[in-house]
Amino acid sequence: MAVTRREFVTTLGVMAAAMGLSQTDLARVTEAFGHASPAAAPTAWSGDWTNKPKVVWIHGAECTGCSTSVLSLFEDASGVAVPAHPALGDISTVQALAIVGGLGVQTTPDAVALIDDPIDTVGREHPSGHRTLNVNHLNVDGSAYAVNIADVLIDFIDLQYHETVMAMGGDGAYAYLANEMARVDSAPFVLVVEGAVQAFSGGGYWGKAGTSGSAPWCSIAKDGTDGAEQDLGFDDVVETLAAKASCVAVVAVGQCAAFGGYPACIGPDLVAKESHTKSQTGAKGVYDFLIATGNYEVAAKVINVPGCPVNPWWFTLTVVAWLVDAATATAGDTTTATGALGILNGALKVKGGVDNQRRLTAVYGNLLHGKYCPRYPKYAARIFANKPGDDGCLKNIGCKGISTMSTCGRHGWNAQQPENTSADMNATVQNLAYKSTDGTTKIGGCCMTAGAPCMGCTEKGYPDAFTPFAVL
Amino acid sequence: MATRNVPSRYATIQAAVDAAIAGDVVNIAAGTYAEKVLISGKTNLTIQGAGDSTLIEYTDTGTAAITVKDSNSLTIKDLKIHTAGTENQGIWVYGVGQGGSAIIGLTVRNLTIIADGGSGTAASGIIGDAAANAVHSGWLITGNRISSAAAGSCGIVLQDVTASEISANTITIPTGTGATNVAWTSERFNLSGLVFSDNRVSGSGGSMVSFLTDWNDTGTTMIPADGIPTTIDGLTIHGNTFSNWGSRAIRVGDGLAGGATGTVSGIVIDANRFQMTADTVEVIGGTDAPAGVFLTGSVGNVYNVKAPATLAKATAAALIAQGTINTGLYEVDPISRIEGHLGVKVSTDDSGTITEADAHGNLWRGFENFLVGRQANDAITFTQRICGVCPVPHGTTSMYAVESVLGVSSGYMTFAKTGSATDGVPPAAVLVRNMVLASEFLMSSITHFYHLAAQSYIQGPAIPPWTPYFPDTQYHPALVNDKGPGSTARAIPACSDDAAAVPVDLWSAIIKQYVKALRIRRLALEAGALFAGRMPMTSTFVAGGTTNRFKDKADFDAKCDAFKALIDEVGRFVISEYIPLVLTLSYLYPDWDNMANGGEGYGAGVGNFLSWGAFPAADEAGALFLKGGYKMNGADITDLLVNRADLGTAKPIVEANLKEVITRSRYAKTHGYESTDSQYPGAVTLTEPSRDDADKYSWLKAPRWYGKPMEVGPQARMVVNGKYFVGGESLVTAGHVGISGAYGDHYLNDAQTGLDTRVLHSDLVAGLAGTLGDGAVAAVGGHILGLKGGLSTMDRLRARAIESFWMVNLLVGAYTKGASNSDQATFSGGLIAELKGLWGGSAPEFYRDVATPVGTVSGFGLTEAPRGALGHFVTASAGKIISYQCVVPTTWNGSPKDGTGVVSEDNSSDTKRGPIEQAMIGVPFDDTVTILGSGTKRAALSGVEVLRVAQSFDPCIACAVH
Repeated sequence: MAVTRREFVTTLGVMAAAMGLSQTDLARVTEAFGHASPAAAPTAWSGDWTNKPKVVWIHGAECTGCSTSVLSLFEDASGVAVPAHPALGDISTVQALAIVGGLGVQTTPDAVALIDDPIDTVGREHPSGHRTLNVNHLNVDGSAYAVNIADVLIDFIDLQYHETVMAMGGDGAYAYLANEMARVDSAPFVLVVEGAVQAFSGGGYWGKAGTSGSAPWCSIAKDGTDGAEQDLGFDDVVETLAAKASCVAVVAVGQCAAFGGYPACIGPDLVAKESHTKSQTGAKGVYDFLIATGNYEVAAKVINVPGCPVNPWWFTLTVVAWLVDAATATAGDTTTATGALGILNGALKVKGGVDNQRRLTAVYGNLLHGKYCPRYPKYAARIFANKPGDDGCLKNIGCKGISTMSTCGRHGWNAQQPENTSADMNATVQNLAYKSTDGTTKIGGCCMTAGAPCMGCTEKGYPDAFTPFAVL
Repeated sequence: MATRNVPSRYATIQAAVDAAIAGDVVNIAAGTYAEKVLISGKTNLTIQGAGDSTLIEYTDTGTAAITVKDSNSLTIKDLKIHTAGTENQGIWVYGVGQGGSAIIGLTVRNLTIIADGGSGTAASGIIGDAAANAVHSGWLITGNRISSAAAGSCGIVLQDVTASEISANTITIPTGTGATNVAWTSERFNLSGLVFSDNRVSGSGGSMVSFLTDWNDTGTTMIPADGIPTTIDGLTIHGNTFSNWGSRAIRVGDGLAGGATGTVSGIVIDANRFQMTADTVEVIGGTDAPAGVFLTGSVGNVYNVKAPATLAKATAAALIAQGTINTGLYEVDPISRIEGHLGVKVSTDDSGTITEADAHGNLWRGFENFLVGRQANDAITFTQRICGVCPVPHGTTSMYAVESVLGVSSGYMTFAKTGSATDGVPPAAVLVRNMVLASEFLMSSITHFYHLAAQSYIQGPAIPPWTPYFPDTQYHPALVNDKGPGSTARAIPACSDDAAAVPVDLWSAIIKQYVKALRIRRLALEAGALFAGRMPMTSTFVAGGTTNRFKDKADFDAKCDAFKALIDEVGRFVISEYIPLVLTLSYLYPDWDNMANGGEGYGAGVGNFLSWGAFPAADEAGALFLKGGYKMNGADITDLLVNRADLGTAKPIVEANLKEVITRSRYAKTHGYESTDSQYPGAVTLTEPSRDDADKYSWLKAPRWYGKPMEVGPQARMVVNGKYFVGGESLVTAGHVGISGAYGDHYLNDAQTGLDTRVLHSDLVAGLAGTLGDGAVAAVGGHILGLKGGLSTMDRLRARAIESFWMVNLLVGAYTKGASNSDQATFSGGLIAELKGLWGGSAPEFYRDVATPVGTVSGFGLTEAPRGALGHFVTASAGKIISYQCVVPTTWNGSPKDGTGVVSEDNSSDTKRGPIEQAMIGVPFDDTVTILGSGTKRAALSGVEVLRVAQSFDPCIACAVH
């Protein structure tokens, strides 16, 4: 190493100073991370803040757009995480997190107040989740009552592997993956898959070339011991990790992981010189891949969170709902119990609450074309745009909202809320709990607001079934 | 001369051959021919197929698919041979045993020969038996792919062939079968002028390639013993790659102990690559090799072997010392904290310094192919999905390219349709496109430093994902140690295994800046989304302009104001926190800056810079905010596109000098690459993968500009635009616009003795003083004052931060210091002010109608992505795509080599490394970690040196491969 220990220690001192950290900050941050070293190895996730759910997030045939999007998460903590719960009505984000955190169902009208309490009400050693939401304590984004990605990374999940975020690289990362694949006694973990799965030799125009020595379509790590050059093919990693008993859920994030997306686009067959009939590399969504490889039981763990990219809120909402359900489902008998939201059975297999594309109906339950679309009033008035920049419903220039399940109209993008062109409806939308409280102006929000037709990115079959996108 | 066509005129190949006379061509159409061909007594005959689709498949035993006897000046080319019978050869030239005479002039070119043998019995690809009457001569065996799966098979066996060449073949046979890939021997005649060059050889039981005297001259049925020693004088073994052999790569010398003793002299063995990592690499000779036959001038070989002690036996030592000996061979894969799947294989010498690097992209999706047949306009949406980190530049470039084939623009870049300009899009659309693109630049650069690159210098908090934490005692022992504070099980940190000594509060401290930057990058995205619909994938980009529509002026003004407020905050962060922190970093890591290590820092790279240019002004002149141009290492800057008027000269230069090379990339030689490995992307129609060629190690192509690898990205743009320097110039000299001039004086107080506290974030100033003492601010200020521009990892990080200042400047205008601290700083002007001013009496137009042209049109679009020069090349017919090719920033930076030869350290050889590969050369690499009790040396667990260099380019592999 070019840097000696002495240099390195000096370096860090200077770096901390250069980053503008006061001693108070240091103490605060230090405290925040103190909880991360439990004395004993966790053997099962118990819904406990101090024992956060372990997440392994792997990237396949993807573009990292979904990670980029999720990294921009910023949501109101008092926003509705689980709408219309049969018993509890709307469950706010904070209430949901309280359930996940083992505090049980809080019927206190102001759940935020509960979480905001600087005193650890249940005697926990490290009430870190409280602190994050507490304006008087460390809120790393400086925005009280908001859930942002830093909160999620620090307090909500134990993100052990994510190639774009983690410090590990090279052999360390390879060894992590290889050992996760080999071990039988892993702590329970959630597998998040971003990107489509391309089988090494199954499917695709060049599938038959997938013999020993061929390059995989996607290799996510390589063992270089003595020039061995052993690739970890993405398909192997998905199949192996998903099949582990300790893998409690497989979350397919984004269009590609859910349904194959762009890598599954129909392309020209350069081998058989046939017409355009199928994906060049045999790319599939995770669920279809697991079914195709005979992993039927494993596929039952899959929940899809499509979108191109995924809206960070859809992802968060799905994960929170799953965690709420898992916390309640596992509290009872493992064979007969059902989660509070009816999503999971006691074995954490998906049993309900999803549509036929395995999306949570709580998240994807509404057709975009409807009263929440910002341009719906124009549709009702039969005003149609005929070219970009026109006023009116975008149906004539290629909008796919009529066949797209999405909340884009009432929960926008980039911390912005779509403004409905109907004043009454706008009031409704603005009053919906799905909104941000950053203090910035909420006037953008989605494709239609900006005059772009919906392209159907949450639906199976996108993009092939939805092109041409714009009809001009 | 006649062309004799098979099967249209002659039913069989044999019939055509029999009918042929001197000067004829036997032309064999695509198809499978189950026959055995005898070429006997012919002169000046060419036998050619249509490539691999012409297949001669013959399964008899003890014979050959093609037999040559008593024929001169013969050419066999462009076909495939498959044999399956026992000892059934691909091509057999008859010799003394079969009554054949010497063959003068035989060319075998571009054949695929698969000699499988029956029942696992030996079969050779090409065998030339010694003739009785005289020596064979003038043979050329080139460009063939010869393989066998059968035990004991040989690739090429030549006996008594003089003045001949075996070149550019790929020869693969099984290992451990006692077979040899190439055996070239003198038996009854002396040989000279033997050339064995540029081949890729793999397999064998004992020797892989051997050049021997009197090998068979012991009385076999083929060659009666004559007892006369023969010699080989003049043997060149050049530019080959040897891998996976049985006992040794090359054997040169006496053929058989106990037989006649001949000598080999005039040997040149240079520029070969020995890839074997097994214990034995016997380069020259056996224990009984005659002394004094070795040429001491042989240089330039590369030995990728595990331990120098096992390099060779006996007499080879002097030769080996003159090559590069790599004693370490490591994979660092994945390169994390970048976009996508990249690995780097590095070779190191005894001192642990990297001597060679192969950067490989590990994912192929096939975007270019599945765009074919779609509406051109859809490419704007599709290509944004090439990369989710930088979709906007793909959308922008795609608009430029698509607009050039839809008649909206004349190509390269789309300017404003205003004044007397007859093409382009409305000025408001030009502004919106620039604003959304610049917003993404800011998001990308800030993300790159804080969330991606910085962790290779600083330990993050002591929890995942920043520090691997594995409480399970069953976990991989390599990832567990007891160094972490408060933990008994913590992985070795990314940056150093000395990390244990560092108090946890310092590790943890970094997170505050990290999470603040998370907010800032988010704000940059939110600003862009105001006009793009959403980010990261925009939805408003369309050929002809943008789709934007605003309810009324109040709505428009509100969005403009929101944009300005967001970018103002980003701007204050960039100026008062991001830039000063990056400028400080080299204070802590001097070896990685340009003034260390003899005037260079680790990670210097190729020193050639290219920028296509970006951000055209929304007026008739269309001056680019960042111009296009290039600078070769040591040469002056050459402008390419400064404003709209340069289009006429710039476009032909691009078309003539931009090539993508696929020699080492996993693509087939089809669809534009049929006759070349190096092609202008606009002339490539499809991208066909080739997964099975061991030569090809990456899914990235290798773009070259005037034949040279070019670094692209922020440093390239800043250098080409004169805003950064690479020749050791002070960055803080009056007149330089680098740090002083345009904005450098923001950082320094009037006396230039320290940092200006009105600009620096108050926390930063307080922090420096608190930890380092009162003199710290001045000390860091002094460091910044002394910074020089050059080639290093740190220069890349600095240029990216400095460019972010220019992006803020572009968007929201000039910066004014606060009266007392950075929070009071303000901006005025910029694109946002210009856009807001466009709404006078009525709303500005953002879109113009586009008519779909008739006929086939080709065009291209070029702009800059955060990571560098980006180009899309499209051909469309009636608005539908016929071909689409993308040449992407990381394709430039992460490109593999452009040839199969050995590369010189300074990259001046014919085969050149890509920029990331070249940047690895000379970087120290820690390989001392022993894991799993095996005693095996491996890379340091993180390979952090490789990560630092690679990450400084901000690679994006989804972009690079697409």
